[in-house]
Amino acid sequence: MKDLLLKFLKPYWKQITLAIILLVIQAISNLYLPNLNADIINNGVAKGDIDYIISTGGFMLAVSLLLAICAVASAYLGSKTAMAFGRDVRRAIFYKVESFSQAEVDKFGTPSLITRNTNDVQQVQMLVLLGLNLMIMAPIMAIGGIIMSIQQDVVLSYSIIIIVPIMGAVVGLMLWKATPLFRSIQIKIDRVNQVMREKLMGVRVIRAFVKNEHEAKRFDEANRDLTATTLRVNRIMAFAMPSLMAVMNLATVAIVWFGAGRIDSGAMPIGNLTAFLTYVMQIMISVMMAMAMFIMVPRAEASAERLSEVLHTEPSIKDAPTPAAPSDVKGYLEFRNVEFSYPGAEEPVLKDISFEAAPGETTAIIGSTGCGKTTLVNLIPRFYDVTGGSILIDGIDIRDMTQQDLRDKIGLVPQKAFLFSGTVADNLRYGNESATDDELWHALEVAQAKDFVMEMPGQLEAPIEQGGANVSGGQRQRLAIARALVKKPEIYVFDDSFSALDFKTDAKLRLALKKETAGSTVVIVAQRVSTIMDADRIIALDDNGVIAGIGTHAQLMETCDVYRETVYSQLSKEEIA
Amino acid sequence: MSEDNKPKIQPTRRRGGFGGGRAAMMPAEKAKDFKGTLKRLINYLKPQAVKILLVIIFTIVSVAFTISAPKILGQATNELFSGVISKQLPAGMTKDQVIAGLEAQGQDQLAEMISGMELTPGEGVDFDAILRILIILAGVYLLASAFQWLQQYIMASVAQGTVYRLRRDVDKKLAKLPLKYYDDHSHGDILSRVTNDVDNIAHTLQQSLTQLVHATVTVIGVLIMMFSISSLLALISLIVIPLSFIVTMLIAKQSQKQFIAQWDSTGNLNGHVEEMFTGHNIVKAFNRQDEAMERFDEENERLYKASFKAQFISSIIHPAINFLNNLNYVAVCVIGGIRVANGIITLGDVQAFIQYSRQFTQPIVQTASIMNILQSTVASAERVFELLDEQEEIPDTDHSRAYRGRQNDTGQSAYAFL
Ligand SMILES: Nc1ncnc2c1ncn2[C@@H]1O[C@H](COP(=O)(O)OP(=O)(O)OP(=O)(O)O)[C@@H](O)[C@H]1O
Ligand SMILES: [Mg+2]
Repeated sequence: MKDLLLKFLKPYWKQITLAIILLVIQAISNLYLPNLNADIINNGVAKGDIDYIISTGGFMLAVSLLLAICAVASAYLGSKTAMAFGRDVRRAIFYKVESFSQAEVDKFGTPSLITRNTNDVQQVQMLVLLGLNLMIMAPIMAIGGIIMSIQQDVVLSYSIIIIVPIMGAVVGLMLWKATPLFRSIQIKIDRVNQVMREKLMGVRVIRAFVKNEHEAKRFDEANRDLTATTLRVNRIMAFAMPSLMAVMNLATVAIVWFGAGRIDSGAMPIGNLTAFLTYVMQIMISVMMAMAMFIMVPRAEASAERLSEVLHTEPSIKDAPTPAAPSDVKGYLEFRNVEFSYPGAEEPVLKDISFEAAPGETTAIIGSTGCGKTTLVNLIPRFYDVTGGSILIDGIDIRDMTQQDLRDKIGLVPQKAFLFSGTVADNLRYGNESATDDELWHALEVAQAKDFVMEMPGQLEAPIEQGGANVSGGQRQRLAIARALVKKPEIYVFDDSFSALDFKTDAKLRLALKKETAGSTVVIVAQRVSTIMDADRIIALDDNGVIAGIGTHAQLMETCDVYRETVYSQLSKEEIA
Repeated sequence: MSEDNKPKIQPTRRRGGFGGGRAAMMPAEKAKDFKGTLKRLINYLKPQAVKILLVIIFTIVSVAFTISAPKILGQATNELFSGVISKQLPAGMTKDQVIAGLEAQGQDQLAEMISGMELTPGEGVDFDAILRILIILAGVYLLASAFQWLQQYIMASVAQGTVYRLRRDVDKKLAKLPLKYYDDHSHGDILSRVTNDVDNIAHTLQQSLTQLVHATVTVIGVLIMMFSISSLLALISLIVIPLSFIVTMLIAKQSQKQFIAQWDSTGNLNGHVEEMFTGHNIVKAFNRQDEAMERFDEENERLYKASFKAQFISSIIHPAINFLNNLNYVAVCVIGGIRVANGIITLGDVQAFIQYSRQFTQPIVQTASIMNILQSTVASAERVFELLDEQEEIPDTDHSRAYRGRQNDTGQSAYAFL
């Protein structure tokens, strides 16, 4: 955590220094005020000296005005610095993740990265904010309070040695008892959430199988469990405040008793008693604040750890220092003995994959689920780097191009169509910002998406919600296809992009696509044989990620068992011929 | 579950992002029908009426003890003070003789002060009397704490019992809603009512409600005590109090605006992060990292500005109130000093008064912030009640009836463990 704080707070060292100075002034004047109070009572009120009260009172007001100004100024600096710190860390994390390849994203997991970029930053920022106030203030106040109370009366000050440990013990006991319970509350809240979520997801099954009673019982158990634990914690906490108050108040009583003896013997003027009480109060409050901070630190530390982890991860895919010169040809794709295994996996997913594709050709990839089709096409835009062999585009190893140039050549339609929030047009222009409306409509027409976009309110300007939640799965797929078309790339990659379409739409779309992509290389991953029967080249993958056969439909029907099996399982006799 | 793939309207970003924060961070969302919902929420508490009554009584008792403490402490100070003074006076004389002597010497003020005290010249501090007072004081402090503890202990079961019931009722209701309801509402929205909204209510019941009772009783009690000590000093303090209230309300209103802005930009930023990270592949495939970062910077800057302002403005309240408090202190000292000198009130009373006036501002600041929390709680309650009011499916099987009967049983026994 220290590294992270140092690194990101460094640019603000001037503000921080100033804030600390202001806090010290505050602490001093805070400590001085009870002194003035005592003075007013001792020399003014007790002696009936009105002039003295007014002049000292005026001075006291001046001091408290200074205090207020310092407090506002340090709050300004403190919150500005803490929030700027949060902003900078947040940006650093986001930028870092944007530089990650898919391998690093996989390593952390998307949800975890989101939490790190939001919650974890927030946690650390909170600590900085408090740190710039309380963490500096509490020790100054505690030490200053001790010095000042010794000044009031040395002997009475010994009471602090007794009171503070008692208070510490009470607070510590509470924390020790309650902290694990707080954690278990969180787990139980998650449990209630989980049961509820499962119920919502499975509502139809539950109704269909009349499982209501069972489900109600399950929820009730989780609910009871949460209630009982929360109750336990709240009862412990119910004890915390009153017992702390009791300790403080009894300390006051004891101090007055012993103070009375000191005053009677003439060792201490009476006004000092009140001041002494104020200082002891301040010391006790500082101790409490410090202890409260102690709970925050481990949490923030865990968050800081998670942030540092992201910041210290280097992307595994980087641009070559000296990119190769662009070649003259366009649309050539070649796999040369490609092997790939996911980081940490024992077996390679893909082994010895070799094929070539030229512009105007369609290459289809078919194979059972989980055999590595998506993995294969993900290697083309370098989401992952091959672990053996090489991939060449236009005769150049893709690792020798810049990622930008490489990806400019590729129009990808991923298996899981993903749209961004914004309008239909925003999404379509994602790969080509200068596309005209006509071009968009054309792409929509090819993708068989024109009809439903025409019916959407606002058409091209119709809103799309996050993740494309407000359009159907098939509509999402077609919009994703149109998005790739608008880009006009050299190489199209369709990863199972027709799965959500009915046969008629599928056929119409392929016909239109054929014309549109005539000058480009097309790679299609498909589950349905009918989708790819007329491809120039069909690559049949077996379950081990090895090419079982490569050739046209007719060729594979003769030579490749894996392909034949797939075909027989899907098509009727007439269709095969 | 093909139904689950169907797109659903996402819940609005009402509760975007951060899980922590809670009440302090939560901007007041206005309920559509504040009064009606509040009434209904209070109705919902009815089964716990006896406990709530106990809570209120214990709060009053606890506050009464807390409030009487400075007065008792003041007596101890008085005793001590007159003891110290008496020591300096020649023994054997009566109080009247001393006063007469002082007046003869022209020390009118000292004479007047002593005339207001109960003392025997030359006697010194009466430790027995002080001990007696302090033992009472210790008892009062302990009782105040004990009752405060009892009150929070009971309130814990009131709060948890109520939210247990709320969650159970929501769950029961969900079992009876037509399937159409599930198509029209996203899971996120329903879940948020069961958890976030119910939690919000629980938190308010446990903390804010007792604080509100506590603050109200304290204000009334302290006012009574202040007036009983000196109505003149009390009137002076009464000028400061509305001022504190106005200052707090003004600042709180401004910071509220900023907190809402902060909430919004947090939601926007988190949404953007979520989207970019989930679609990481697409962003990369289309070379859009730069735009993603640009947009992030915009949202991030907006969040920074809003949260800085919210934080800064809300942290002005404390110093401002402190200053007003000190102003009050000086005013009380000046007026009180004159009165002590004139022997109208005692030093102990002035000190007690000062302690009271210090206790005054905190509950006021508290009340102002509880008002905000209450608003968001009622909004939460409204959302939960909305769900409970949904049109039910007509029960068509015996199962549902049997199930409901069984549920009621567990409902009754639910209180057994509270
Ligand atoms: N990110 C990853 N990390 C580790 N292993 C992975 C990862 N993604 C996929 N795999 C594994 O690699 C294998 C191939 O997965 P892939 O997604 O390429 O299959 P697929 O042929 O596209 O299947 P489908 O037809 O279902 O889309 C599977 O065994 C899968 O478990
Ligand atoms: Mg796949």
